[in-house]
Amino acid sequence: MNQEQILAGLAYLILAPILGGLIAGIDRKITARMQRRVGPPLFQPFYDVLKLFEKEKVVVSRSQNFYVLAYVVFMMFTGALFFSGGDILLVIFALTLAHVFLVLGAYSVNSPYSYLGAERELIQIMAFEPMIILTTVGMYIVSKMTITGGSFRVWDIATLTTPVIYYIPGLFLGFLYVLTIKLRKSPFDLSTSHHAHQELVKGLTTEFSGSTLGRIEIAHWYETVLLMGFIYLFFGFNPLLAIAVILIAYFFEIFVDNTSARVKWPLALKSSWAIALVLGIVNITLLYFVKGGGL
Amino acid sequence: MTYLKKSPWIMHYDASSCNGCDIEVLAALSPMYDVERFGIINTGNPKHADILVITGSINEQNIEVVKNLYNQMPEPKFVIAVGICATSGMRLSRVLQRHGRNRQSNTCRRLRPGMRGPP
Repeated sequence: MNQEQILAGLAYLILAPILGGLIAGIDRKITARMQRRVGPPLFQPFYDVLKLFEKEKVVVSRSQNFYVLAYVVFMMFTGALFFSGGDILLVIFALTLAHVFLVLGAYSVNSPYSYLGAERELIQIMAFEPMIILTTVGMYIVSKMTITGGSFRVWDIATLTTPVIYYIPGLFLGFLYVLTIKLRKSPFDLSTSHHAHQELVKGLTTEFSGSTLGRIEIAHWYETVLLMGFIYLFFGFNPLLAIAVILIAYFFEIFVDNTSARVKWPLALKSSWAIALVLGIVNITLLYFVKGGGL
Repeated sequence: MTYLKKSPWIMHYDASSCNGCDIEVLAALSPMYDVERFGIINTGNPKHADILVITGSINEQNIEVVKNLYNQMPEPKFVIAVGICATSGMRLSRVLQRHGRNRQSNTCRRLRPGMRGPP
């Protein structure tokens, strides 16, 4: 790991919450415009979180704050690992571990809404995992074309000169599908959501209040930036195109969020696995036969 | 307190209102009036809420519910009584079950008088 990579990791730790918060602000503004509203100010997410840190600390169970802290720390670790060019498989498992801590935090309190939210979050993790693991496998196969032996390292994949998207368009579409789950957008905002609070009260985050809730929000900003980084990997050969695609992809997510109703969890799970199976496996198999890449 | 003014999250509780005020409160949340432009969000969860919005006059039946909700909210917190029933119980002043004025049952900081507080 050279100096550049360490700097990129540090830059992520400092800039990601700011960028993530701005993305959330733009998100709320665009959502409001889609609903023919004026919408909150651009910096509203920051006001919300700063207010949450001003609130009284109400703790339901002693361990819950520890779990949320672990969630934030692992989310920061995951993102720093990604942006400093670490192993992409490790990034994925660290991301899962971060979410498991959030689920444990929700389980540690004695509330049915929190329990149901935690169970749904586990289902969402299950729905998300197969697709993202196949995505990394696809990226590894593409990296084999230029790097002997291939590479799972983020930095190597991001600097590939081969147009990754050209070889794995199916995986990209599948990734966009499960991105909705990770960004907590409708129709897959099962465990907790930024709006429509009335179902399950607030799901996963029902029992968290004050600064703990603020930390969950900051971790979500970190995660948003990390996921946008994943999209970048598909277009590493042309950074300008990559940024354009990230913007379009996020706009698409907002559009889907505003035009679709929440689905039941079996459909969310089945459809994301079906997408992973059809788009993912077919894409990788075709790549194997056409390019003779091999695993 | 600095940022609380910029992002007050409300929780609405209907304490035996005739629905007139409820409709007005919900209308304020709708795209037409859009209170989210002031950062106001309807949370429906006392642990996330900063302001308890009460419509209708509190009675013996639901005083415990209101107290429970109020106690679950983390400080700093406020109570807003919307409409004349909640502020003084004028319309129902002869009904026996009514539990005095809301101001007596909990610290109501802001009053919004008038039959059906306009949004």
